[in-house]
Amino acid sequence: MSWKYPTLWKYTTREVQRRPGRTVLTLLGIVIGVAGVVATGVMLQALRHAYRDLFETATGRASLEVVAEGYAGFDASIATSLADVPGIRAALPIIQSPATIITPAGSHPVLVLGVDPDRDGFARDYILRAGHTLDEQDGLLLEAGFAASRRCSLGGHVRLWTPSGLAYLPVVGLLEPRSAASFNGGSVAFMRLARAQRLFDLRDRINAVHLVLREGVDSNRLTSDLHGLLPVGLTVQPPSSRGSVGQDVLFLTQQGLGSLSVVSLVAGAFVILNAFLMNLGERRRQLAILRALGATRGQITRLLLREAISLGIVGTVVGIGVGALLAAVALHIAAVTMGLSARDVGWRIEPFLTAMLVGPGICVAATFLPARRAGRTEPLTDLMPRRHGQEPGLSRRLGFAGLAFSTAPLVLVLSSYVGWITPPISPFLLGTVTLLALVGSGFLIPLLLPYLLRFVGRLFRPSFGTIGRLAVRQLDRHPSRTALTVGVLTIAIVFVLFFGTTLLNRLQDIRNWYTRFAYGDFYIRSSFPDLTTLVTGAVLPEAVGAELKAFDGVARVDRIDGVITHVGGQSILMMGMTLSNARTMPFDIRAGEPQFAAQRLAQGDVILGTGLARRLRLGVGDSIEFNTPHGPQSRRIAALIQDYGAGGMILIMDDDEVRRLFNVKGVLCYVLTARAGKEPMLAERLRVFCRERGLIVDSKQETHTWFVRKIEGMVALCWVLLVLVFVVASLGITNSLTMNLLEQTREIAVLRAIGMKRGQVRALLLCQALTIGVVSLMPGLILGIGWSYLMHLPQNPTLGSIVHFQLNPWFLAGCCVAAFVVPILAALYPAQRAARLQVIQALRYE
Amino acid sequence: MKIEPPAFEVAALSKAFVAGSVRVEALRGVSLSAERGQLIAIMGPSGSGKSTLLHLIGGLDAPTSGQVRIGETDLGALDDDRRALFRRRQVGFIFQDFNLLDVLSAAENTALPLLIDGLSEAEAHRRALAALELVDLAHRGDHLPGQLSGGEQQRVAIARALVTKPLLLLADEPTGNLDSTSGDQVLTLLRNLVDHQRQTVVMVTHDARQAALADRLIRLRDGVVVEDQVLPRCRPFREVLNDLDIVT
Repeated sequence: MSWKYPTLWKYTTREVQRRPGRTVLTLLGIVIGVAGVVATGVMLQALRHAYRDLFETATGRASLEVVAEGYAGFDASIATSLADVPGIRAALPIIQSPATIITPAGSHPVLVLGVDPDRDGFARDYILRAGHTLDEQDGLLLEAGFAASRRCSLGGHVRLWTPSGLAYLPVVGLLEPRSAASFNGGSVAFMRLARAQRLFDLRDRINAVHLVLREGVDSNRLTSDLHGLLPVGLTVQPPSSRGSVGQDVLFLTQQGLGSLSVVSLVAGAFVILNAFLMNLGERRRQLAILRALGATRGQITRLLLREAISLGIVGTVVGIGVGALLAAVALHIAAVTMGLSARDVGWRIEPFLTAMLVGPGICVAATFLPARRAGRTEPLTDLMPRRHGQEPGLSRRLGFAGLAFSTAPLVLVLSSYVGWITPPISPFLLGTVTLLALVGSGFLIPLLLPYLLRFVGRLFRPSFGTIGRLAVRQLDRHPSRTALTVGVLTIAIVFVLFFGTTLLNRLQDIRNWYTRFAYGDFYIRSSFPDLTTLVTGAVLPEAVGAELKAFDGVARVDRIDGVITHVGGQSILMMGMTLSNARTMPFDIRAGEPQFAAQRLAQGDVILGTGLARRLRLGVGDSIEFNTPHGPQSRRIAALIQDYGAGGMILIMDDDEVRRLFNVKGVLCYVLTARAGKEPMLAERLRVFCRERGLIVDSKQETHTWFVRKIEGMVALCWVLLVLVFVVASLGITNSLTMNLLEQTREIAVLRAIGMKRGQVRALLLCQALTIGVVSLMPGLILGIGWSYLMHLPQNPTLGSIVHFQLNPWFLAGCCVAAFVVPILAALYPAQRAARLQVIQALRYE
Repeated sequence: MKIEPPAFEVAALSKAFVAGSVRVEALRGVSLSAERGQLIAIMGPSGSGKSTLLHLIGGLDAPTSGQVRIGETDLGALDDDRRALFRRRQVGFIFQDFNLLDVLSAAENTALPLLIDGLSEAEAHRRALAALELVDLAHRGDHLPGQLSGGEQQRVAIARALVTKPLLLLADEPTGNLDSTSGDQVLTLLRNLVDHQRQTVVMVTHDARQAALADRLIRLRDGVVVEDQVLPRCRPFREVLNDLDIVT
């Protein structure tokens, strides 16, 4: 209607311009909702695709690869025989292994690709910026940007830690950052296959065959065909499979982000609804005039909806910008945490497209019913002078709907326990349940409000006297608005308590895990592992272990190794550890006998992460079958441990056994135990030793500090998001209190006329805000703590065990303070405005 | 010869509503009909049902029982959207407190019913100016309501009511919020519309002097018609006003 008839459109735009404060509040609601969707969406998409894209970049045009379990070496002749399989254009023998490069700028993990330069062009393009290709000269090809940042020049030499030792290699060419050279921000080094075979101690063997398919060939069909042709221990997979463990690790983060996305939307929708109701409240007479003049119900509804959509579009544009900024910061933090190049944690268009729909969508969702109701209001109802009496409250049915919604987490927990929902619980499901729980919390308020107000009225009477009584009565007289305001704050409290408590408990659990796991006195490695899977973990030669053992003051040298293998189609991290004589097991053992675990590990049994055990439905004493290059192997489970490595998808075995089964070359990390009293001396010597060789040595404390630093960015981000939730709540409350003020205009004028001072008027409004705080806090605390407890249970199937639940008293106290401070801050402006009311003018206010 | 139907006709009209816990019978079996081209005044004490009657005739409200017929249209047979359409095209409302949209100019307010009805902006604007010309306010078309006096605002409201050339003009205490000079101007205007354009006007008023200018006076008390009187009108309206000493 209003597009067609510009005067009506003018009416709408002028109304919007006339109330800039309200318009800004509404826009903020949309901006926050949309920004939340964009930021969390970009993060979710980026995390989802980060590892997949990473390895697809490395394989270039090859859409399949043949690998052995644990990425062990296998006979290079396999590549020759695969080249003859119909549908395969090229079968390229490859060595694809992580290593550590030592440059003038320090050591850095890289992926080494040993390639056959004559044939590798089938899969990858090598666009030289300077120097020579591998056809012409033996040495290393580096990505030009990476080389520059690491101060490597063409013709210069770099050192490379490989299983066979420290190699000294010339940089023969610099590549444009395209094709495989763009892997993880250029952290890739190309060398001839023969050279890689020597360095990685594989002689005539390779550890991957990249398959470039002919056009039109169905890769799924070819995969199943090849499975029948390949020898035992080899498998064919898409390159993205290498990132599957990484994706498991990110699952918890994805769950959290999914919930946050939902919450930002709900919060935004509540703010919009609040602002819109306020707007309608003030314009009811004008809308009635339009109806009296002959506007139909539909015309009024459409006019209002179009107004909402227009604001939605403006808010969406701004929200997308804000969301993109938030996402950029969050992605940077995530990339650093995951050990990925920020360049590779890519931006995708989907979250932006979603936001474009979501922005106007939440506006329509939040405003549809009120707009429809406004259209359906009989014109006379709003043309007649308003009766200033008790308003009807929100329907009790809404309260019962709240009760129904609130049972959602209960159902999820029960379903999870009885096994109807198998782990992991998807971010979507968790987000939906969070949404239901939050909306349920909000909807419960109409049921509870009368009792809560009565209680607070009694509570305030001795301290606040008449002003307190007036404040409570005013809130009681407008139960719909009060319920909405209290609902917004309750939802904020519930969410912050739930999210914050979960975060604190999980962080404490992770810290405990890592502290326990850091069992040695010193850790020697060539590069820091990424926090997720150790997929980029470069290895050291075994000879280094012998050198370390010879140090004076070393009581013991242990090894840690990691290979990726499969159990029942699930990618897992198999960790090899030499713990046969360990004094105490460095694990949080949740099932099994701790005193015998080490002994049984030495006898060939395995220890499982609870997450993996839960997913496979295995327990102590059961057998687990996993794949190796020599075929499936079965081992008895000695114990179950709570472990965050590889998202709980972890299996621990004696390192000698792992090395034997998976032909492991090199060692991921050496763990040194110092003789009593020799630690300081040993530390000094180890530092000198490692500095000369470009290795990293960390004491237990340094390892711990490194870990804390790694996760603190993500933790800070979470706290910022929690603060934002309170900001959103305060917007909603400011809206409601302003509306309350408008509705009380005449009464305030009467109070002023009979002698109430400005300060008392201000106190009245602030007292209302305080009442809202107290009323919200009571159900907020109960529901928030209750749901925090309930919701931590269904999250655990991902980890397979219960994270110890505890309430942090400081955090609880902070939430209580925020519940009081936020509404009072939000009330400052309306209170100031109320105090400045012109009495005569206000008495005429309708 | 075709007999012209009455401007409006109400039969056994009742309206009851509940205020708090009390059921109020605003109208109780009112039956009336009115010829076209008359100024009809409805009087009565507060709560007698005069405004309710006006609202029912204008289709702003639905009766509890009884029938309202405007021209050939039975309002009881219309659903809400058709009632809105009926109000838009057949009825012009003039309210005591003007009810102009304060963000729109006088011309835009006047054009509103036409725009709602789907007329082009240009045509609606042209007709709005013509309607404003009738009330002698064409020169104030660009002014916002806040920039006009009360009398001018009510004249804009009359222009808005006239712009669709309605069958009925319903005025609910149109001078109630005006000073006497402005009130007289508005009354003169309404009377002229009846005299020169054969417009039917139904006006609710408390003021006996204003009612004396009508062609017919209906008195209500407690929801029933207690008096229905055709007033003698031989002299021009202006002279009556002079005699009543309300024109200076």
